[in-house]
Amino acid sequence: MAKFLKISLLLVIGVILLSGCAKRSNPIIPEVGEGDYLKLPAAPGGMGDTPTALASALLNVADPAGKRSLHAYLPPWHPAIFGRPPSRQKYPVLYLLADFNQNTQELGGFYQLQKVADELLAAGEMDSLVIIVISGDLQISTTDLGGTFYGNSFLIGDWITFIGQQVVTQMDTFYLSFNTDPDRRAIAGLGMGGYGAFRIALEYDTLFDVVGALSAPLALGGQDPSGWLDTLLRPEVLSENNGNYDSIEAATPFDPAKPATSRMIAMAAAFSPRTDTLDTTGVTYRKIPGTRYGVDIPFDASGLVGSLVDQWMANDIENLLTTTKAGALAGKKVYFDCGDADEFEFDAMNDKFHTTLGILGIVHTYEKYSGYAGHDATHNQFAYDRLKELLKFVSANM
Amino acid sequence: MKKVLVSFCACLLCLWPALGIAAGIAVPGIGDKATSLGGAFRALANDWSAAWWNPAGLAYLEKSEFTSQLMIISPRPNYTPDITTGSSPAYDLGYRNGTEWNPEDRHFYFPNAAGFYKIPTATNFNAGVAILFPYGLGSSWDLFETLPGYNNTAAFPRVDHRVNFVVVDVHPTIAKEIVQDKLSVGLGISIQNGDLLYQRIHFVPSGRGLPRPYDNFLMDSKTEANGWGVGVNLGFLYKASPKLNLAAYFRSPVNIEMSGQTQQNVILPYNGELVNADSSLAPFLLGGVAANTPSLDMTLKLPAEIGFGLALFASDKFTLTADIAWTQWSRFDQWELEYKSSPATPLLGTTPPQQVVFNWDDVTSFSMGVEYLALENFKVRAGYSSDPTPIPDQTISPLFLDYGDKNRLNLGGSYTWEKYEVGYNFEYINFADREVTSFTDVNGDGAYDNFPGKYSSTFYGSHFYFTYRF
Repeated sequence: MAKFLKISLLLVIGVILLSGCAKRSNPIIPEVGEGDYLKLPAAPGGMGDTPTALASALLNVADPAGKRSLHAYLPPWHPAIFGRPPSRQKYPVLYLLADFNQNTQELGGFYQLQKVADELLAAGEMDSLVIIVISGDLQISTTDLGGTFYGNSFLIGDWITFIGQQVVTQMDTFYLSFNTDPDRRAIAGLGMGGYGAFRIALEYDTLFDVVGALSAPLALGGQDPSGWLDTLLRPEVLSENNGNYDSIEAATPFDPAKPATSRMIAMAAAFSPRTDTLDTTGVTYRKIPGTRYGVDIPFDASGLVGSLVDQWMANDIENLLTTTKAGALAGKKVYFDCGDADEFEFDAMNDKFHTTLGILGIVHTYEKYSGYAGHDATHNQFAYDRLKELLKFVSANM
Repeated sequence: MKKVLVSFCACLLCLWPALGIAAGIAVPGIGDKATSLGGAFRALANDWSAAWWNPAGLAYLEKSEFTSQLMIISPRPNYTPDITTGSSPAYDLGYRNGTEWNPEDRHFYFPNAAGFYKIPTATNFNAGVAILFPYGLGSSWDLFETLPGYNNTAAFPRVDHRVNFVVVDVHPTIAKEIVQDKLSVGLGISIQNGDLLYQRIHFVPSGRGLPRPYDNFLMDSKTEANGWGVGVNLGFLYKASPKLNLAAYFRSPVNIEMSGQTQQNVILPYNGELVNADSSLAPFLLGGVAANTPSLDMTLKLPAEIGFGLALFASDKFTLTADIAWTQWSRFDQWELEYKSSPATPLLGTTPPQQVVFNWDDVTSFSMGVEYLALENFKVRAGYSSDPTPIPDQTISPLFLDYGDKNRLNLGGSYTWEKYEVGYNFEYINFADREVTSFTDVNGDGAYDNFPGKYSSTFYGSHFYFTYRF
């Protein structure tokens, strides 16, 4: 009996000693494949130069800073990346428009677009997607207004046409190795680019399945006393110019210390250019230094100027959706967001746009986001995070 | 016999409302017998480990003895991080959220040893010294990965959160019977050496209006310190009757005054485009590491403890024990890092956090055990204790492994022959699962003081000992 007990005890001890001794392993972290972010050479037909060509009759068109470059993000294992195996897989494509004063290299670099997309793919939060990045920056020789707002304009060229027709066509016909799927297109942008994305999607309402905007001016408000133009843009511009209306000027290069003024002049170049180059009359006229061209700003010393506001509103996304482009978003997946501390007060504008879409019955996703302690949700502070959300939305809806 | 058992159960019921056992950073397992009785040992205190549990018991050692013990402790904790900042929405900081992780699993080996000499010229008078490891443990985690856009050029450390902490206690002790067959007293001096390594990430505001993910720069902060402290412990053992021992015990708080240094490595991001746009950002956004190694002093404040116990000799073969103890873990409130050279964050020049906040709670513990003489010279023991954690939600961290309230089960035995005794105890500790949801900066210094997420853990312990009596 004693021997039995001793042997039993030894066995129990042996089992006990072994228990808990095993070393565990942690979950395997998925390896992140590496995509590519490459600058596109100008295609036959001068795709990269088209807006310049359109404006060439009017302005000195040199582009020394290369601000009108196009870039493409190709996901890992895309056959167009050197060394990857060939494939006939078709990829959905997102046309992503850059913000004011931002070229495509900067958009990719500022927000680490390639790494963000690679990581989302590795995490299974996004499907493979080709992203064509387009800049609407306008820098012509010494003339730099900071951006075009992707309008069709006598002064800055026909950007709507350029992107809606030429870029998309070139992607489908010239860049065949990109394997973009013509049946799955999205367009989106940051800030000014978000405005441009909606503008182009309204104009070419059969091209895109998804449209999105991050912190974009989507509802200018017209002559509504509570609208953005009158309550936010006008006082802010006056404030930047010490309350002196006459000191407002179309500086070139634009003055980063006057962000509202700079954006207003760029919008004026797109929405209210002075087409008669010999006419420099009127208090709203602002000459572009170093050129013989000018723009009209939408207010004078006493308030908004109705005729000019009408020109602006002819380009306003909210207005277009309730007038000439009603129904243009039908069937599309719509996403937009804005930080609640946007320094250009685009958040109020987006709130209004959100309300309007609701009234129009347009299904959409709107996210108004906050920052966190010490980090307010200003115009681009969280663009890195919002870009992720946009890519996830686009991928989920293509 | 029945009357005795009823009395014992009545005593247990009296103690039960004060459930709990001090744990915190205490090493479970000093003394095989003590541990196998669940720690309900103060009123028995009949081996070398009485030096820690109740030195008064040493007075009744029948012979001089030398003992060595090996404690092998195998923690198996798990942590699922849920660490973000902001609420609408929550922003990812880089923690590996949503997945259960474990640290680098390891076994902790703590060798204890003691020698006590029965002074022949006096009755029930013993003196000796024990070398103990009363506090310790640690863990090393890979919990963090820089956000993909951070794009650091210098490698981020694979182990990014770590604590290694051990206190060795050289413990000279004397014990003397002061009332014959009734009362003994024991006094020990704790001469403690503490050794600490503490590593974690700090998010240092980058300033300069940089957008995410450059709003904070990552600082790998590793503090290493070492120092000494002194305390005492005092115990009484009262033989109320031939069948009942009662015990009272006090251990003083100890301050271990430590000196060391903090290695601060700011892992800088890389973003050439932002530098192109603003060349003044070049020192901050072109990667690499900015380092600083300030020296420091700090005090490690270890708790006082008061305990009471009873031992009931129910028969020649059965002994039942129960203890209650209060441990002053509230002394473990914070580590003040008193820098002797400039602690300014490298490159940024900001002031790094100079406190590690704990704010632990006092706990009261309860334990009970049974010893049975199964065969001649062969005893088996079993013990149980219920053991709350002193760590509040506001400062919980995966580094300090006492995640939740615990149930501790012990089973052990010993065999004696001639002058020798060998023994073994197995300990199993099950921790209650815990979930912490709110991210807290207790002292408002900009550094978060807890790690939200889900916690679960199990400990296994194996304790061996060998005793030689002469």
